[in-house]
Amino acid sequence: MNNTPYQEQSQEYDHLFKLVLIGNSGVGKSCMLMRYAENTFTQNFYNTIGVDFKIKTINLQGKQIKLQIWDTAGQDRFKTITTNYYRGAHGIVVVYDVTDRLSFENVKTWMSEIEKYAQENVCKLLIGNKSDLSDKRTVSTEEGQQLASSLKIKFIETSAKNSNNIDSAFESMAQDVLIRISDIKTQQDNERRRLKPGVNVNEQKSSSEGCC
Amino acid sequence: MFRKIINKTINKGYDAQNCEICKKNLSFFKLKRIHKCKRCLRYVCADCGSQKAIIPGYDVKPNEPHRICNICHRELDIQVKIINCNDLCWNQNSYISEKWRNSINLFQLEKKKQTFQSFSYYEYLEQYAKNKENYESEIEIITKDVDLGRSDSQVFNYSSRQFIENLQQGQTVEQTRQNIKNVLIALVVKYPYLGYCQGMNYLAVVLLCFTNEEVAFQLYCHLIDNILPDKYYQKNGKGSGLIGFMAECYVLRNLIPSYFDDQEEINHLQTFLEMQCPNYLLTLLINTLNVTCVFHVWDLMFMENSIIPFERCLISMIWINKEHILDYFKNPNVSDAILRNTTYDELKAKMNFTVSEEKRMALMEQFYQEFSDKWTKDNSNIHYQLKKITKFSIDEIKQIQKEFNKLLETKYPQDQQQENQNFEETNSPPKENDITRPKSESKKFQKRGISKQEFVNLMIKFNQDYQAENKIIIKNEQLQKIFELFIEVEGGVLDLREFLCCMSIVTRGDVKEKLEMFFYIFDANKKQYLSKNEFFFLIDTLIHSIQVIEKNKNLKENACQFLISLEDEYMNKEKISLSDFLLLLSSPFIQELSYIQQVEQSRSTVQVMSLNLKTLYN
Repeated sequence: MNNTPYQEQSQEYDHLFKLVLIGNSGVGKSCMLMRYAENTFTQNFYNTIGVDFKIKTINLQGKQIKLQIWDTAGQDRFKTITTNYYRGAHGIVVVYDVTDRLSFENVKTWMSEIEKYAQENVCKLLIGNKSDLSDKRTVSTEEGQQLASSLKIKFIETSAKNSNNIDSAFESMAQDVLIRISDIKTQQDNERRRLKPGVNVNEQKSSSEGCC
Repeated sequence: MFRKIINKTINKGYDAQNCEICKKNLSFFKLKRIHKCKRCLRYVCADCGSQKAIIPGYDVKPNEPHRICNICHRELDIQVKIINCNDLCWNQNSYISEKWRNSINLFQLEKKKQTFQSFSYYEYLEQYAKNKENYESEIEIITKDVDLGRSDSQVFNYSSRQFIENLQQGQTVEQTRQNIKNVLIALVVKYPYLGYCQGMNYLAVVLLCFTNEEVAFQLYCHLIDNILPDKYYQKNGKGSGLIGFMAECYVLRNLIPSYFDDQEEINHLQTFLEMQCPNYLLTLLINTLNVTCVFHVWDLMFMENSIIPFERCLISMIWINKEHILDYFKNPNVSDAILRNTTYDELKAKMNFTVSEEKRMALMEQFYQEFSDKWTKDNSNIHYQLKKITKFSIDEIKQIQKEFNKLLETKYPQDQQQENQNFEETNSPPKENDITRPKSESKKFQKRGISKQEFVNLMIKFNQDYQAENKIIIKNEQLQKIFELFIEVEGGVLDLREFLCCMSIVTRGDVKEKLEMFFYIFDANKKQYLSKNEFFFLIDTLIHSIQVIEKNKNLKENACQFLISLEDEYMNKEKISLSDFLLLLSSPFIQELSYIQQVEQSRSTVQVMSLNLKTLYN
């Protein structure tokens, strides 16, 4: 599907990455995004109904990276709507709430949705949010770590409230996407170079950058 | 002095050259007269920002008036008028709710529908109190959304928030939350096949601003039954989650080209709408527009008993905010702009056009046809979705799909070519320019599926070919009755998805699923009650379609006992309601049966699968 009809005329960035946040209702996806994109936090949050997105531009390895981060509704019945947004994503972040056991147990369901609806080589990251609420915690860091390694994905615990690890979570995601993309590029470029020596690599880069 | 102001404005990210209301040039000489509205955050000149008001949630001196712009002042003025003229107060009847109720009464007289008494709000609450465990999963989300503050006034936009806070004055938070929860719980009990969908909480809050719990509930029921499209909030279970909502989205998307000229613009607006639809449609614009606009639209909806005013409002809103919306992908904060820009007066003026009911209906039918046809497509995604909602393997699904399609091909030969074109477009949700196809406008859309006799034949064939050892014993007449249950309109047909769901439950479902499903379907098709005869026929059919019972002598006796005891119990009852049915689910016999079935199922799965494969390949 083409979620992003807008082709930017003037490119003020080197890459545009699309990230999607998923996870049970109330785990703090919107709060994480608000914290990351606007550095604000509220206790009471309006339910996300359907999808929403925010933009943040960061600098990684000397490159301007524009992150388009999609926030999705967590309630089960919105899956019919939200899964449409998986396909164009470069990275998908699965969030659970360390004080909500059920949201942790549901991670596997979310993973299978990714399996089905996202691109094969999509980057994944598992986040345990609300790490500041240590007295209410029902999922230990070790358990999160274990689950992540069994799924072979990265893991990080964050707190949108005190801003802990939020930036590094998104940046590590962006980093992964960047690596993956340049891997694919070099591979493609190598192949092309083999076929047609003398093709301008930079040109190829920008043309295959269309990301949605 | 100048420097100070310049710094101040620069620090706040001010970049407008002109007053955001009167467009008067603000630059340089008039710098000291720039004001910022503390409510909508516009930068305005002194003339346009001469008023002050208390602003809820403003953290500096919250109880003192702060500067606001003239547009906010006008909006607040209307808000106050709405409150005072109609005697509004949180959770209390008002002139408005009386007016809306009268309109519903007239509507019901016209359509000869049941009167208010049958809604019986308190009965639903009582039913919940008696039988809490049946609603656990829904109530859990409601509790989360209400008790954790996600339905409090603070989560609404500045305009709605002020309105709600104004009305909730003097109430404790616990009390207001309880009111909201009560309305939602009653809805979940009344509409178990819809359940709770996020967004309903906001609607409940706004309704409670106009009236008390009971009437809020009745108004909401009227919305669900008569104003919103059918199955608006449908649960996910059978692959048709939120189908009514999706139909409405489709209608709106395809209305856009009639009101705008530029094709590129239309594409952008449609994509934008696609993304915002859940938020706009499931909250009826509560958090999108200011409260005076929302009130205007809701009032029209209740007075006309129709969703068309809502559609007109959305289209007008897009007109008013076109420039911002076209900028959406560069600047996702468009919702702030829409809230600020859409004023009551302008919206009211712009909404001066009609949407043809016929066109709406045609689009609805087109949507439903495309939705039905989508399932006949030979595509791994479709197979996966069908597998999720039934108890069949991918191979079985493919096989049945083939067979079903063969039947359809002979039944609707001339359509085939065109249908295939439709599939392509239906599968990727946001699609462009399909309404502009002149071909489809002239065509009558029709759901394609199987009739009663074809259903019976297919069921019998399936039972013989694929069920192997697990053949069910079910009579022709019973199959016909089952078909009638699943059908939505008399003389209707079943599409592939419905057929597979039906077959899965009849042949593979465990007893609980069967009971639930049969009754939910009954209820969803607005049949409200079953007569005693229908009820016993159903139970009898159910019990006999369960294979374990036939095999197990002990169970067979228990089943007879169970039926007899039921007959005693319901001797004096002419109508059986959904709650009676739900009680059945917790009876010891059903529990036992369900358990035995599960054990049996896990034991025989392997065996059946290998047998199925054999028959498939033969």
